[in-house]
Amino acid sequence: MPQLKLFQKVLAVVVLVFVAVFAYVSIYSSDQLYRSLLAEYTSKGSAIVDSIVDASADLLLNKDAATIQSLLDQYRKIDGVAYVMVRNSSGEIVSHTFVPGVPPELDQIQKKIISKGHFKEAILTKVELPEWGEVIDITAPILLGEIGEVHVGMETASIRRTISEIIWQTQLILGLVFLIGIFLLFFLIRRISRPLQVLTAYAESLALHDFSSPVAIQEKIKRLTGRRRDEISQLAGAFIHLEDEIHSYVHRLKVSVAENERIQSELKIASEIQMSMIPTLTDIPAEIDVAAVMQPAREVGGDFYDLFRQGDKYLYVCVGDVSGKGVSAALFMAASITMIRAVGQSGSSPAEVLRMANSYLCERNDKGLFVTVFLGCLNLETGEFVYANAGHPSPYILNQAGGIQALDMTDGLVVGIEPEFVYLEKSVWLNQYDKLVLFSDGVSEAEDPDGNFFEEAGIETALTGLRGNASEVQQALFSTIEKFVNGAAQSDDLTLMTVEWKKEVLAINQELSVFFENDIQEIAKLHMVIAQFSKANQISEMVQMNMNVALEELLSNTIFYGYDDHESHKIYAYLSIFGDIFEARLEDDGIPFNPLESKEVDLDAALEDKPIGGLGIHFVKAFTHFLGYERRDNKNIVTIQIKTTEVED
Amino acid sequence: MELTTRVVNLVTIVDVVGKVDTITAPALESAMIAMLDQGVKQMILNFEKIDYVSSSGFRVFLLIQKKLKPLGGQMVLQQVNTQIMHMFKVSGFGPIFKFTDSEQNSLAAF
Repeated sequence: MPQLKLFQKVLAVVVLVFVAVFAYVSIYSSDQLYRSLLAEYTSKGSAIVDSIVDASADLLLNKDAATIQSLLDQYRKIDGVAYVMVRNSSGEIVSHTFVPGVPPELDQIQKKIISKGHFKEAILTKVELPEWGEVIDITAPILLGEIGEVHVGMETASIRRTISEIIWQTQLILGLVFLIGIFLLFFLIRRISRPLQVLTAYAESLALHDFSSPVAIQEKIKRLTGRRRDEISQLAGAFIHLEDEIHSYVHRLKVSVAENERIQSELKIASEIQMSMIPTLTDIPAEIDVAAVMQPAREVGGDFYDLFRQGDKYLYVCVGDVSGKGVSAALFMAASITMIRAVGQSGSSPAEVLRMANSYLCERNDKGLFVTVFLGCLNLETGEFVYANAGHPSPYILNQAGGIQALDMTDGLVVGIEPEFVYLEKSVWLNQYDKLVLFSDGVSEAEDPDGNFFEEAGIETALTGLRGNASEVQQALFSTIEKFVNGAAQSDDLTLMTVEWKKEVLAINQELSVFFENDIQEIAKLHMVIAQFSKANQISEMVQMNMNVALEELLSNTIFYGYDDHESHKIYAYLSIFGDIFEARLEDDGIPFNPLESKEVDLDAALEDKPIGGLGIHFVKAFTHFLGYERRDNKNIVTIQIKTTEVED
Repeated sequence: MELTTRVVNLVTIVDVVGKVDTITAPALESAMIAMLDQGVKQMILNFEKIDYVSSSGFRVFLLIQKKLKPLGGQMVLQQVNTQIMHMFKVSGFGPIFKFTDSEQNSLAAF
């Protein structure tokens, strides 16, 4: 009960003050009273003495004892007079009012007075008498002591009685005042504390309220504000204002929270839809093993990976990263992954898929979003991996022994910017247990708490020496990244995909290097070398012949026309087989000559018009699937490829 | 490459053994030009033992064919093996030449 506590505190103070006042009044007043009453009594006694002295002088002289006695008896009746006694000059008691006799204590006073000799003024002496207690004896001389002396005993007991009566009355009044005061105080405090109690209850109910409706007790508080203009009403007003403010705040908060919840729930759905767009890796061909993870920095992200079949023979592998983050990136991601998959399943090569997807995605892209894409097509029969790149970080190949190599990139522009862009592609042959490690820049740009990037160097360090299957390798890399990030907030979407080529392909990467002098007799050596190489790699006679024809043409061309000096030169040939490709590369230090620029033979021309020269290059082109030329380091480098799967028809 | 000639029913048959490549083609070319110079207009080039022909060889065949035409002569390519036949097809020169699969058919062609 708070009001009682308040009352108790006030009461304690009041009681303390009361006790102090009471004690002061009792002690000080009784002392003061005693003094003033004593003085009054003494003067009264003196007056009586004087009066008796005046009256008794004659009587004593006349020795009228009876009259003196009756005089004394009269004075004895005066209030406060204990006794009256007259002595003669010899000190004998002439008359007195004691019954039955004079107490012996008065003799002491007598002796004291006598010892002082004659006296003119009255002498006051305190004496204890059994009958009256403390008595003040006033002794005055009659005719300067010549006749005798008069004793009047004034009892102090009556003084004390009077004092105690007065004090008691005072105390009674004080007590009454105190009780009335306490009573009034109680009501006053109750009057003050009742609204406080209401306000307390109000504050408590405010704390427990859900603010869906006004607090029930508010009406009482409103009454408090109207009734009077004091601190309580101000406080009540402040409380009502507080409640109104809380209501308004809670309302705004509820609206905001509801809106936020709605957005959150939509984002969650968006995230689920986005995650359902990336493949689940359940239907993986036996030739490969795949591990992949896409971890958006927010609810939804702009990263993606994809894996889809094109017929029985090809598997497309794709990793992409849309510029920006969040919803805008996610929407463009959805468009990108869908577009690439749709175009990819038409059977086009990676570069062509990128070209078409880019052309479509450039349309209606007002926000200028773009996406980096790495797209590769894995030949599930041979392990040949043809790829094209649109501004994406270069993937790595991790071989069985733990060695790494970054894929040689094509410089493709990001998708979404230039609709006419033409992408190039390259190819690489995967050995058994080679792992392609594809990633988005969320990996290379993963930040530690100090803001340092993981970098490509971090990936290379983490991958080097790693062995194991795709999941183990990926998990090891992911753990290294997590350790590096060390709990820092994820700054960008992060995607990792590891594709392991598990199939063993026979006779791949068989290589042979040989050189020839610039002597036409070396053609025989060429035929011998090709025959041996073909036999070792089980190459059909027809393919062997095609290669012979093409290489002989190129080599003889160089020997005949490649040098304008008469020095000896070496022409290098590199033969290799990978998958279904038989590749030969010739390098010579002769004068620049690009076979691609030579004139085509017009096969439709009449026989007479057919040129006899230039036939060789026509043959080279006719018998190869690829003819490439580059001039590098002052060398002509001609590369030809023939498919070993070519059949006679 | 080895080259021998014989004449059957006024038709000159050229039997070639080995490779007709950049090294040997000039020898074939000069031998055949010499025949034309001697007035030979009907010839059979026997491919039975030719296992390889380079573009230089094709050049020779083309050259001879070209020279025979205004003279009203004819050359038949006999018993060309599958690989070399494929080369004729792929190179686009097939239609220019006449091919037979035996000497009898070759002789019947004239």
